[in-house]
Amino acid sequence: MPVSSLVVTLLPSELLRKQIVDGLSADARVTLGLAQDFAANQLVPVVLETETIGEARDTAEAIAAMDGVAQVELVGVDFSDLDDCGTQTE
Amino acid sequence: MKNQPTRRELMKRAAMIAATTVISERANGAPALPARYSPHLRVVDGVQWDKAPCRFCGTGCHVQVGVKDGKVVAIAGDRQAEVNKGLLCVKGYHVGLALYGKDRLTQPLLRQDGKLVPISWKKALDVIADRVQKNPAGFAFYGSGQWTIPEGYAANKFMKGGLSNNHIDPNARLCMASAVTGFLSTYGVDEPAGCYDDLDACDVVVFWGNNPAEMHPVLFSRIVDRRSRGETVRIVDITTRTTRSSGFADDVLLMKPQGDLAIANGLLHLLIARGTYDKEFVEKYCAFRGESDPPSLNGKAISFEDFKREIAEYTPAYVEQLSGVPARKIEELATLFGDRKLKITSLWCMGVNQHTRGTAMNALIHGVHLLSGHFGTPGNAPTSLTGQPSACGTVREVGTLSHALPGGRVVANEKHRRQGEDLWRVPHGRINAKPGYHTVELWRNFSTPTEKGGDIHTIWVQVTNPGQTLPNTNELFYPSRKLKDKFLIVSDVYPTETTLHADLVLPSAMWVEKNGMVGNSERRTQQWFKMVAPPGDARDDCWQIIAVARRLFDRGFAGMKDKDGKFLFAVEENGKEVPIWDYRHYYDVNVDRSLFEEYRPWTRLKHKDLAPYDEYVRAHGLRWPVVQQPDSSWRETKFRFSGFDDPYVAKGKTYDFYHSTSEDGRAQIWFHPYAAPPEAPDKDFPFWLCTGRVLEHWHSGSLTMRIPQLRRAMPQAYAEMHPMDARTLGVGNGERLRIRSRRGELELPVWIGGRGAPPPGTVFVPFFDESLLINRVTLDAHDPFSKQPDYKKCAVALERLSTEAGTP
Repeated sequence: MPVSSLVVTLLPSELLRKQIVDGLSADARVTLGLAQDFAANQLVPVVLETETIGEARDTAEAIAAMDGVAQVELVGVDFSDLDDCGTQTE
Repeated sequence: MKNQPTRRELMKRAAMIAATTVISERANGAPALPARYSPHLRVVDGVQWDKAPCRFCGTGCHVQVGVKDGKVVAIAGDRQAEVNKGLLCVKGYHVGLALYGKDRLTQPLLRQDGKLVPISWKKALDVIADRVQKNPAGFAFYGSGQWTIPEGYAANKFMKGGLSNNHIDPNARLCMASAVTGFLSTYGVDEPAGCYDDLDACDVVVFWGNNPAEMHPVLFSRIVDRRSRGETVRIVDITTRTTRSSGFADDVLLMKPQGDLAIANGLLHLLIARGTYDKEFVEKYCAFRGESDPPSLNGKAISFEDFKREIAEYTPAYVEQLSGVPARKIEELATLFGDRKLKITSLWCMGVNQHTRGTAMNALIHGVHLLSGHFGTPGNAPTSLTGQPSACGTVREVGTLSHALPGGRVVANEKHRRQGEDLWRVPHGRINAKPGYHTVELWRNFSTPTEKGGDIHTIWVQVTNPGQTLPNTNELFYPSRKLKDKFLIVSDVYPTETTLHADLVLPSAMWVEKNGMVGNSERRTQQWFKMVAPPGDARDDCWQIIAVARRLFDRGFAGMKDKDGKFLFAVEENGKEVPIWDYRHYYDVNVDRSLFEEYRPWTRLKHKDLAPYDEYVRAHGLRWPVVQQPDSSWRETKFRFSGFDDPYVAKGKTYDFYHSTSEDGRAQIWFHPYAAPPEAPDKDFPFWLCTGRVLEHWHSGSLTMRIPQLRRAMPQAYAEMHPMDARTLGVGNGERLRIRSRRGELELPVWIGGRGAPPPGTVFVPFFDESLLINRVTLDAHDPFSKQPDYKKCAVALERLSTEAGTP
């Protein structure tokens, strides 16, 4: 399963931030790291475990579309346990 | 061992560390990652991979770029890319090394007391702003088909929308301007109807003065590899010297320089005389055109009977006399074109475009395809190739030519100017109606003393090397360097012949050191993200333009304000303007995305629709027009003007040339007679000189000569000649020869029996070598419509210099 490393930038709204963090925390595929303030925004490291790279892309795009998310940056995707056809090797 | 983390847990930990590290670096002032989500980005064994188009030619191959510790460490062909399907040429495989030459320019340099000395960016921007304010009308920009689309768009807006000055022209004027005028005069709109898919479907491919085995090797492989799969592809090579491409050809038509005009006319004549032209296609979809007096790009309408009468002169015997190609071979090629069961694709590039009759030659090739009906279905296409990665995307589509505006608009048309002013939100009247100087005129003017009418006082050059690539540099380039009031600004990544003579040198970021978008030869728009930091104080060309614009804005220069008084390049996020003119904040937002979305409405004005930026992030390029479908997806177009694929063809029509210059949906078949070249060998200068490129080096070699593998493979320029001529002159391989024209001279080693084989009376010299500048010798005569010079034929004298041996 591919493991994606993301940085999610949250806009300065406490209400929206809570909703986003609660929503992401409820998703078993998501692990949240320690958020850090950056200017008025907040940056959250996120690890995403998905079945396929396509699912990772769709999920990252869904996060980016959430109200209160300024942007999602993809730091990397480790899919070293997938073979050339995209199927898991272990 | 108990409690040992599983591999999966380690992967997750590494992913969390990576994300946290990025955030920590950001908090500590490190530059932000480009604002992006790249679905192509992945990490394998610590190397981060992402997609990018190759930096070099107009083919538009995609590479996978591997980055580790902030450096490009690996390159691979991208198997998902339709253009190259994982294959690269020798330049493409080494493209990453182009970033790491030892002499990268890393700080701004200003000439003081004859020497280039380091200065700050602040000072550099002030110097440029001063030069603009000295006299905005005398400030010029000389750009490139290597500008990214956002860079070219910013430069165009800076000049035409900001300075009310159309003196902006690109080096692409020297390589594909005749293709543009050929398309415009034939179809009323620029760029090929077909695409590379034609190469997979054709039965015959005709190279018109083209050597794709060296210049577009991946496309050439795409053709010849079909033979290894048992398919038959007949190659016809029309050329003035046999090349590596000729070695794969079934038929080689070795012609005299300028003989292509006769050959094309000979084919048109035979198609009509034999009755093998496509009568139905011609009657329904074509009109005929002849040259007008005075000459004009659209000429005059003529009848089929007029055309038949004019072309009748070009019998095989007469064509043989003009071109040197045996009549039998002309007849054989006409037989191929007369067979509509065959699918025929023509390819051409500089041989046809760098021609004083370049517009005519382009139109004639289109005419051969239209008259024979070899048009508009997969495998049947006249397709011109480009030499630079964004000659199409940035020059032809963004309109960075001195007469043009983005989206196929022109400055001379009042309606187009109003559209442009509205799109740029500048006051009506801001865009100047008078076309600026084209390349040859611009540089000639810059080299003319002010008191003698040379009204260009400053040229800012980006992403090109005119000191090496202009024709007849002794007249067009060097004289300006002795004129005290002429100021040359050059943005580049390495020292070149141009920076050597510049007054101000700006260090630029290149390729994956910045975000970018380009457009290749088949109308495919491509995108990539910044992956590594540029060295030292090198910065994006686009930022340089915006930063100068902001300097002028801060000084109150009215042209850098829109009609509401806002900065011309303002980018807002969350309702606040982002200070992108401050390089520390340039990547706080995606400036490319912002400029591209601003540019997109222009593209719909002439049916060259581009999709939103994010669609290009996902794709390996899309071919325009890209049109949104009812399900919201975006669909590209492979075959323009063909009802089965082009969304702009009227419903129910098989073909529709919807920008027809005759305004009746028809394409134009031209009669352009043969005309002698502007200079031909004579008693004093008895040889033809042809110039061009080689496989290993790209253009002036400023990048590829810094790649050790490529430099070692082809270390210097040479004079390629026929053994008989060598014997007559008494020179052997490696011995030195002086080549002299009416304009200049150069000493070179001789190469006999090398890569190409010129016929007797011809010498070929590549132009990549900055230590052997052949453009001191070439001719600046140019096509009357495209203004593109002829680098392929001029008259020279040859003289043996010594018997010193050595291999070239």
